[in-house]
Amino acid sequence: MEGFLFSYVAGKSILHGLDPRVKIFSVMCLSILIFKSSALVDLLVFALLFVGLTILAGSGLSGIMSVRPLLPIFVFIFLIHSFFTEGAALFNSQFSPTYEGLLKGSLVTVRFVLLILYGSLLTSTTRPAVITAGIERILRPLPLRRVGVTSFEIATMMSLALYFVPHLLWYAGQIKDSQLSRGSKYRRNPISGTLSLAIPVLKGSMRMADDVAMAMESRCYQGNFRTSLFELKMTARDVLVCSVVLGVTALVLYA
Amino acid sequence: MIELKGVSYIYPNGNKVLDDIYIRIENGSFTTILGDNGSGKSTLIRHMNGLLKPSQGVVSVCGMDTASPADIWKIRQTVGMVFQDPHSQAVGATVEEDVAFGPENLALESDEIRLRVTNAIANVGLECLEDSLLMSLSGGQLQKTAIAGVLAMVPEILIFDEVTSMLDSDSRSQIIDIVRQLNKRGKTVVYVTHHMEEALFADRVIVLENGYIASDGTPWDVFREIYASGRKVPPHLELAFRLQDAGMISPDVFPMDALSLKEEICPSR
Ligand SMILES: Nc1ncnc2c1ncn2[C@@H]1O[C@H](COP(=O)(O)OP(=O)(O)OP(=O)(O)O)[C@@H](O)[C@H]1O
Ligand SMILES: [Mg+2]
Repeated sequence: MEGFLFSYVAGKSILHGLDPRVKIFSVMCLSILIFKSSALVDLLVFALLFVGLTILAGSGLSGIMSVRPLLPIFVFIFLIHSFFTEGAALFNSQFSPTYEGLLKGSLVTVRFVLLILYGSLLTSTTRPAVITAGIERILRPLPLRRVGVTSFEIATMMSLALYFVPHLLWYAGQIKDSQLSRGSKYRRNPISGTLSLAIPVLKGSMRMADDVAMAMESRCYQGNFRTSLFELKMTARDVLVCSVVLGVTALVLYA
Repeated sequence: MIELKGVSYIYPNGNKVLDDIYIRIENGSFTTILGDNGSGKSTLIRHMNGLLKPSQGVVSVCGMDTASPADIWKIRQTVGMVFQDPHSQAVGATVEEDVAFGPENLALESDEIRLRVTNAIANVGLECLEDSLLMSLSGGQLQKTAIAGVLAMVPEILIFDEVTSMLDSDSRSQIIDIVRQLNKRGKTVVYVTHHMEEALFADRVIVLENGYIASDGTPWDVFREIYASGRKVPPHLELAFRLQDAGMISPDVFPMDALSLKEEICPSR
């Protein structure tokens, strides 16, 4: 499934071998740093770091290219800021981008692009199941039980969504096709068209959810405790990476 | 062994679906439950692993009562269930993750989970797809994944609820082969279907009609009975029964398919 947004690319690089908790933690630290930087030059450092890490991951360009579908969003964010930021107009017309807008637009867009890219680096070097296992372990010490869930339930929900969401999209596509082939008039009335699609999809998804719940129950699911096919073990290297990331982040933030 | 004694079931909306059912499923047997849509097949077998509790009567699995919450865990491990829709029993993103779901729930060590996953996947012949995304699989492959997911729990009894009804004929016969293999290797099988052809291999056929047992016996007895009552049986069986009635072939012959009937009539040299 290459080219899928945030898809995993199998490999044996150092990045692939790191504990998911370390990677999640590092991405979180990087995100904070990226948000804190207010100059394009600073962001350039993160861009270079990203290029370095991508080479290290050995996953080539497929990780980067997978964010292509988000391109319109990037452009949109950039344009919105360019046009709607107060400042000196670029052209002598009523509706013109401003200098300040261009600057802010590039800053915000580059930040956003970098966040997405680092996110995709995490997902392209870590199996979904391992990410879920990592998140579960991170959440486990939290007193979630007080709000009535367990870390295991959250992790299971996430891994269920990994199949369920794309399947639901596929299912909606099937229903739409069958409605079109029966001569439904999507083009003429988008509102009733959407409704006549939404209702069967909603019904179908509720039935599916019931079925999945039953299948899970028959396979002994209970949210209290479970183990994982992918056992997580912190190695010396993981600890090292973690300390470096933490050190650098603290240094940048407080120095 | 599964035993149902005087089981009735009424859905919360007042729909009485099972009426005073007595069934005993022996270890190692292959039982097919045959019935039309809405006859109560799914409702019946969902009693066999405690998904449903009887409104009246008792269901026991290897001596454990499905109504007792303390045993339900063990019962679900003993009785694995595969469902009809291949798309709505997937619980992982990839084949191995999905198959690992059961053993993970049993809180096994990851080495043991890995071992069971590898074994289960080999049992259904999906070795080369271990790492594939479920989204990219066909219905037949998904259904094999579902069977592997149940096998990874190492159950003694396997229940299949119309597992082939959404598949094409190739995948259908592959799945049936897998089920028969599993039975040969000692698993007790309860196989639910509304296709008569799929009931031929069983040791025993139970016909369900509107929530009661209409007939129960060997495939030969049951299909004879269905034929005698004037209803449709698979064409090669109808021919066999007609030939038997006409005294052309021996009355104990029960051909599995058209080819074995032909062999009966004119053996190839
Ligand atoms: N949750 C429910 N609430 C009320 N009635 C139900 C429920 N589920 C099933 N029924 C009814 O119970 C009867 C038997 O249903 P069941 O699903 O057991 O039949 P089945 O033999 O498995 O049919 P199929 O071949 O369609 O799977 C049907 O009349 C059905 O409408
Ligand atoms: Mg059914």
